[in-house]
Amino acid sequence: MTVLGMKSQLRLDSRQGNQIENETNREPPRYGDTEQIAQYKKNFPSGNHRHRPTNATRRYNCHGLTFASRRTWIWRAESIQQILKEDDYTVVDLIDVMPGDVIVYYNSGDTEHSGVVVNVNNLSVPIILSKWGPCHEVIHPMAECPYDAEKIVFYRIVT
Amino acid sequence: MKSFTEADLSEACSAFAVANTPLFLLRKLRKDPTVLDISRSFRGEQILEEFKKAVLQEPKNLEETVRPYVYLVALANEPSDEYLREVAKIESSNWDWLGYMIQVLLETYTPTAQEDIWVPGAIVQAPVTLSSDAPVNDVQKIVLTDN
Repeated sequence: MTVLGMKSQLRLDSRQGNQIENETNREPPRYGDTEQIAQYKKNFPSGNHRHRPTNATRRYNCHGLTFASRRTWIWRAESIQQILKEDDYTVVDLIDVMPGDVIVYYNSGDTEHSGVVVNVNNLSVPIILSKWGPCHEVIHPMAECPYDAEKIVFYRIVT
Repeated sequence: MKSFTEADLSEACSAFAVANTPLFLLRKLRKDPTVLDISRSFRGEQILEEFKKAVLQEPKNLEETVRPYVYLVALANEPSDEYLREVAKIESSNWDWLGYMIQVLLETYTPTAQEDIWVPGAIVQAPVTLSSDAPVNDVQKIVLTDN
């Protein structure tokens, strides 16, 4: 049986030249993935949300979008911490957030989700571009997504 | 729940479909009432048997894909970690994150026991003194008794 027989790891280095553990999966979308996208479009209707016309894929996840140019799936919390440290990210206060910054959603020590800030609306709410697991990419207000994050932190690379 | 096929896996499917990390999936499954229901309705050996069947099967839909994860977390609710140790011996490397989740569950395992507690008491109508114009309906209280 091959559920994940099409996986491999890319050479993905931090700025310091250390490999970031990752996994890219070339298998086609699984049963239910497309239905799930339809469900999320229903649960998070357009208005506050913009569902980008991207297909379900396991080639990359949210962290792969945020930190690896949509090339691979990064799933270990330690890997995200490694990137934040070795790529010289600095924490940004919510009040100073601007497009191009990165958002990371933490929960119980896990980096459960991440995305890129693409806008800050007139209520000062950051608008995020992210990918929801193997589903599609969504542009959403930072708190309106399926991730019940305990703690949200914004980061920026300054140098 | 009388049969595993009755299990409502919709919450598990939704969580799996947006999981970026295995710990996210684990947290969601730990809160999923269906997982708790499975733990309460079946013995550890029965859940283990279903787990074995599920990992050997080629999944044909999202529900079949999430079944091994659901059963795994249900086994973590057992009062002993023997089933998790058993699960760790089963070949499941083709399944996303399953080995990692087994490892996490074993490392964080806390023995649990479920017990129904009966509190002697009776619901009686409490005397109500109305001192305002606000309507008061169906005021009840629970009185603990000795029997």
